[in-house]
Amino acid sequence: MPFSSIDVPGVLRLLGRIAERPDDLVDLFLERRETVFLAVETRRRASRRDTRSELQVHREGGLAVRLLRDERTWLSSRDELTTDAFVDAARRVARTPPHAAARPTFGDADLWSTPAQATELWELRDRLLDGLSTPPDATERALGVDDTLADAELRLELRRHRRWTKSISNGPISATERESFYSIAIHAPWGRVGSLLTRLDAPAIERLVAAARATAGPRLEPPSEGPTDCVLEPDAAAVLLHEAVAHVLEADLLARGGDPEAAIGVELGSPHLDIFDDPAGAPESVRRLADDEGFPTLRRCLLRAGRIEQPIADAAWARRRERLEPGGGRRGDRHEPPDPRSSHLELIPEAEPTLTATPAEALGDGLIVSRVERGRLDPATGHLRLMIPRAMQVAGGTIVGATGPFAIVGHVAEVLGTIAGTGAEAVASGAGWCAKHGRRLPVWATTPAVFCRGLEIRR
Amino acid sequence: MSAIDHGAPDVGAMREALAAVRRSGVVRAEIFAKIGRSRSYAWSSERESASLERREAGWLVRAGDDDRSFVFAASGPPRPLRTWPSAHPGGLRLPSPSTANDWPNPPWTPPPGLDLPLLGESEAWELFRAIDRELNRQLAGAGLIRARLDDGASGSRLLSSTGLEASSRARLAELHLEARGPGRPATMRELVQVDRAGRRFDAHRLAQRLADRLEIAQRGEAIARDRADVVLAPPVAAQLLAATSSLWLGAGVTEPSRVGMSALTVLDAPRLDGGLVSSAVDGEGLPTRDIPLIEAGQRQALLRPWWRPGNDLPTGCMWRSSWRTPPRPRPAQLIIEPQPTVRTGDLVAELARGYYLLEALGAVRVDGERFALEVEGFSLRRGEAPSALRGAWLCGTVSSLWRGVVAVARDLQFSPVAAGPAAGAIVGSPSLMVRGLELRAG
Repeated sequence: MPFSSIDVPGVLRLLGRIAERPDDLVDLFLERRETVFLAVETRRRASRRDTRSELQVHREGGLAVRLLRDERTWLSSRDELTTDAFVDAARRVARTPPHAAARPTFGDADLWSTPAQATELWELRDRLLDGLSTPPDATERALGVDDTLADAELRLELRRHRRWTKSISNGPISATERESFYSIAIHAPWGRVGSLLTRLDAPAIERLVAAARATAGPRLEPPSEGPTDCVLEPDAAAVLLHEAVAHVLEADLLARGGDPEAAIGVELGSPHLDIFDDPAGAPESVRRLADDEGFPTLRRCLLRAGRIEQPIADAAWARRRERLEPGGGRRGDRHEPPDPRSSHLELIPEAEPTLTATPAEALGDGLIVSRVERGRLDPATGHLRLMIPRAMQVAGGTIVGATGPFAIVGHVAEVLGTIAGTGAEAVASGAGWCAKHGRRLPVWATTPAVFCRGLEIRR
Repeated sequence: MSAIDHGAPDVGAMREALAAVRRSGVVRAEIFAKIGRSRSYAWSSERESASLERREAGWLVRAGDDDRSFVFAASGPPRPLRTWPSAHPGGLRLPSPSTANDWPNPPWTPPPGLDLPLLGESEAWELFRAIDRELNRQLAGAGLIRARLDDGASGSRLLSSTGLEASSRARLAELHLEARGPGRPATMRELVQVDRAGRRFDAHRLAQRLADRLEIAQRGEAIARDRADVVLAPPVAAQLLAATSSLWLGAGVTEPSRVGMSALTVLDAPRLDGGLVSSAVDGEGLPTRDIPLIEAGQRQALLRPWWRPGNDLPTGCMWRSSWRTPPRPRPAQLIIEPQPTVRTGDLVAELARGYYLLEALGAVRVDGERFALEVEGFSLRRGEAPSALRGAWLCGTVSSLWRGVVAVARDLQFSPVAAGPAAGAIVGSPSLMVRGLELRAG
């Protein structure tokens, strides 16, 4: 187990000498991460003899010592897991040179004991190429998919990510946390489809293949602008919730508009919305019992019946505001301090779901959105923009065709206010890579489909 | 104030790791290692501040033969592994010292300022305070809401089983500012600036630029559709240049062809005097040289790495965006050549009716040959006071943009390329006068 050779009492003794004031929080963050990356380029998908591959293995580890005093942070980070690196980083963070302390041993924390292997990526490659090689069926053709699907040149980027973290502080001490997941990108002449998966099981791969196939073909005409009824299927709803709920309730972004505590009780969305951030309830391979500051994660109710209940906070914000709870601090990597971030959002399906029929029947007229290409929230204005590459057009309760790219736009409260109901079954999915402040982190969600009345559509 | 110690990767450890890879049976192998030191200072009006000090180190091995290969990267100092990753289908090409035998390799002097010390904590806070003070002085009620300064230095080294050895150093600082204007609702604007070192940033000029942006955002008026002559300030021109960076790669130009007016010269200038990422060697250790891509309006060359077939002379144009990634072809320092005798004011004065576009908002949207970029600036009519313009989109085709450049000023400024195929490169442009570009409402 990574970090098991580290002398924790010795680390605590040195950290204790940096904490000069009663309220000082001093911590050591330990990180190891591994990415196995397989890139595959194919000239003609039907023939695997024409594929060209590139395999890369990245392994890194390091540490950061942080002092949090009042509203100031000092952080010193190193790309090594050694005693020297720790002692040097601690010395740099200390406001006055700490008295000599015994040097804690780090043992073999810097060594990897096993070679990196990810044979499952090769199997995944084959399953994706198989899934993408069949010509479109009649249903797909009716939705604008054409024979470019069979002849296109593709680039697959398949990555397995593993990360181990541990936090030792003069406050909480966490056990080693482990995350493991896959990121997949399919680049085709008609666009890019990306996905985060916690497991390479058949349903997840089938959903990804279907999403990539659905966008093949010539660019289609966007839908008419203006308010439009939409069903956002779970993968699309996950991105909406991440942008419109999670980011809006992060204490540092809330503070841009005033006191984060003042948001508690404010109505943000429709009464159909009960939304939690529950890192411990995430799929097993990305489940987190402690955040990146060592605080236990909690099942945090973000919205109850559409009203804000508990913003997402890290230790720094929780120390400043009585009603904010820590446990939501995440670090993009060891070189940056933590900030408030969501991990795993849950939208609770309605007790009596609105979407009991097929999405088209429930919708009547409108659009079914399976995938959001990217989303962006402007924290200064609360303006939201979700880019949709393609959607299914529904008329009279039947799918009648497909539309080209468009955007869902509006103020967060307006967009969330359109949610008129949910589906019955919540599906776990990756909401994507979140790049808040340029620090990339995977984010997850378990959500049913959502039914929105009058979402604002722009071309 | 002592000079910065860049450090350098331990050549002994690199040789040991390289030997261990070769003992594993691979035909050829290369090791690249990098050590970096940086300091970052972040401040926000929500009264948070952070001082970060980093020591980063990592290395990357490429190994294999014509048919099979692997790439392995790790943090820390280079070290031999007990087991290297298995090689998989996909061959490896590595250059050797003879690859560049017939390439020009002009004498090289490292750029000045590489040894400038990293900015200290109190200096950083004073810079932020000075910008805030000056901004408020120039535009009452305006102020900084967020600031971040990253100031770093690095040294890297490369060894190859083919006998190639190279090393280089770098020094770069990036400043990101966000400011709000007076009144409610307050307008907000951002500014990103790069320079050799943190202490080169000028608080007065930065505050002036922010104040201009905030005033335009506050007072600017939307535009109906128009086609007119425009002066593009360096930040706007550099954004457009960055968006075209992938167009400069290829297998050579068989015959010069006219793509623009004589005022336009575009270079990839990895050895530029005063350039921010200037280097004598690329990420594979091959010599670089400045390549005119467009000279006086004539398309002259494309950037061709040594392994790509072609009749013209290749150049060192394989660059690494970090120690984690293998080198990829891209420009290093893509610039539009300034005209030392032409002042920006002369270009603006020439506009009888047109637009002076000072800033770009967001990234360029590219769809095939067409581009669109949200811009702000001034509408100019001779004999009338300039009126501020906002919410306008500059639209056109890349070819019409280059064809339309009729004059170039001397005020070369650099911008970083953060994303896309040229991520990690620097683009630089002076102000440009361009005929007949289209502006549309947002």
